[in-house]
Amino acid sequence: MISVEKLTFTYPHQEAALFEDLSLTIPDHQWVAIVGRNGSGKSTLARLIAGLLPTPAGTITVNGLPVDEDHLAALHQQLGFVFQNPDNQFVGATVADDVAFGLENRRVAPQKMPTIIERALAQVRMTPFKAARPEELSGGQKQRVALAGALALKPAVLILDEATSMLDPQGRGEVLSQLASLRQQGELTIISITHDPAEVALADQVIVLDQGQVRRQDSPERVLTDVALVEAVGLVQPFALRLKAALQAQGVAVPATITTEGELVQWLNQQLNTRG
Amino acid sequence: MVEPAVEYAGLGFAYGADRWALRELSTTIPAGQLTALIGHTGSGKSTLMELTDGLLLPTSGTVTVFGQQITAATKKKELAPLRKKVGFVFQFPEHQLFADSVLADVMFGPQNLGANPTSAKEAATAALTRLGLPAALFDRSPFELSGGQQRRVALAGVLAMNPQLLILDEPTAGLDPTGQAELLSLITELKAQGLTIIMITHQMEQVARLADTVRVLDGGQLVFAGTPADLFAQPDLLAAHHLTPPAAVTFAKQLDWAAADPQPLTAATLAAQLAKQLKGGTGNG
Ligand SMILES: Nc1ncnc2c1ncn2[C@@H]1O[C@H](COP(=O)(O)OP(=O)(O)OP(=O)(O)O)[C@@H](O)[C@H]1O
Ligand SMILES: Nc1ncnc2c1ncn2[C@@H]1O[C@H](COP(=O)(O)OP(=O)(O)OP(=O)(O)O)[C@@H](O)[C@H]1O
Ligand SMILES: [Mg+2]
Ligand SMILES: [Mg+2]
Repeated sequence: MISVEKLTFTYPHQEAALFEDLSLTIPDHQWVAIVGRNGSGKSTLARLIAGLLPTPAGTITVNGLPVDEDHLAALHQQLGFVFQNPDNQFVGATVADDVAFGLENRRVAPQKMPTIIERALAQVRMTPFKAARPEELSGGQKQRVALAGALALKPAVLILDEATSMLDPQGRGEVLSQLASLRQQGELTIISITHDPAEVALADQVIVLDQGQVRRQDSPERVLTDVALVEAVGLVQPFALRLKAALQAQGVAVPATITTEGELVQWLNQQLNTRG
Repeated sequence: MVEPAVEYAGLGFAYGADRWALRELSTTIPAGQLTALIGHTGSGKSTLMELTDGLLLPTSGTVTVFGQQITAATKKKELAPLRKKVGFVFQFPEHQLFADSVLADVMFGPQNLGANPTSAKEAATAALTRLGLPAALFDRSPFELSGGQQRRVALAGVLAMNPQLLILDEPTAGLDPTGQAELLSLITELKAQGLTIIMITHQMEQVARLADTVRVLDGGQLVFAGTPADLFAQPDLLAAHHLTPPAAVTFAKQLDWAAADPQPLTAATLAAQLAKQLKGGTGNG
């Protein structure tokens, strides 16, 4: 479990606090999506949870470990983090070295590393680029390597900060289904920061951040079908819900109870068949 | 026919010996239109745009931008006039930001093109406001901003220079949904003003809604040039190049109806066609 309690945080040189008395809980082994406008505090919250900013003592615990200087090393044994900009992620001279670096930090036995690295790169289809330097990669290739590095660590908590934003649709689909199956196997807590409605829909819970405050924490269905909330914080609905709204605007009376793609297809087919 | 804004002829580019990122590429970018450039990860899109902006020089073949030809032999200083006409928003906005403050960053472009400080400041303020960046952030270091805020500053910096050709490399990545919608309507407006726009995107909805014409790359080669409607009517071609159709196409395939013509590519057009069938009883209109 990750627990944030009465967190107040202000960036250096800033007058106003970004978070004031923020409290929230992320249950174990769940996939939690964090959404909200640009600047609402998503990345900052993730960095505070990971101890990458000076986290105020006594405010955050991750699986029972307090996030503070004394516990940083232990905390980092549990965490995998993919940054919003993959350029901020790379430390190794080559793609393979980069994945190896994370494993060395975890004290993984050297003889086990080659297999783990091979598998991690194969998972994201980056095997041919093993010897490439990170700066020689395309944008999507960088994101794939960053994901491979985090997945190879088999962390207890995986934090993804817009980690699929530059993947092609096929690559994004593959990553999301890998995450879904990892979550299915249990043992992994996923925090994914995203603007992608398809990614939000896969999560168990959604946290809606709004100007440094938790506006709502609820299931994706309830968040994405709450029109007032969707408009107030500028979320985008999955395709089926957008189509439903467009149909209603055209005078087609789609029942309010229909919220998923499968339900909408079924209902439309019934209508089409009775008209035909 | 109008002169194309950009013409690629037998263009090849290699990052070092035998590392070809583009091969034998020949096509044009029509002036005053929006061209979507798509293709899966590593297909050569960003490289092609760096060649279009003169940041890279061809290994073989030529790029001609507004009549100016660029070859392997072109000297850097010959590219100065080109830079005034072409605005390029990079895939990673951080690569574009450098000044001590947001405002200074965006003012740099217009000043570099000869604007005095007052008018540069006006242009910068207007562009930042247009991109929805709160004025409270204008004096802040661009490196102390969130990812989406940095993207907005990078976009403003290029727009403030009034380019004739605007190159956008995945411009909506990292923008919140409202920011994405606002940017897309800004792009439509700019096109109406006569700008030529090339947009790299992985979002097929954007291609369907905005693009006049599409170029698809795969493994550094051009594999399609035509309209979005043509492209999305060819499922085999899409699959062969690891592309997916817009959500409206995938959704419509699951319905028991005679596929409508033209195939709806967006939620709005699909809803309109369905409404017509459901209310009208028969026929595809
Ligand atoms: N500086 C470089 N040195 C060597 N190879 C490079 C360099 N930059 C890119 N490449 C390679 O060239 C190919 C094309 O890269 P490019 O960045 O143009 O792809 P892209 O289509 O923009 O991909 P993405 O959608 O992932 O951004 C890739 O295989 C990439 O690894
Ligand atoms: N290093 C910094 N110094 C000062 N202020 C910062 C710094 N980094 C971010 N901020 C500010 O803190 C607020 C929250 O930023 P954060 O990066 O957490 O937002 P976000 O929700 O991740 O946004 P985005 O969707 O754009 O990535 C923003 O207003 C931003 O300008
Ligand atoms: Mg962020
Ligand atoms: Mg690219």
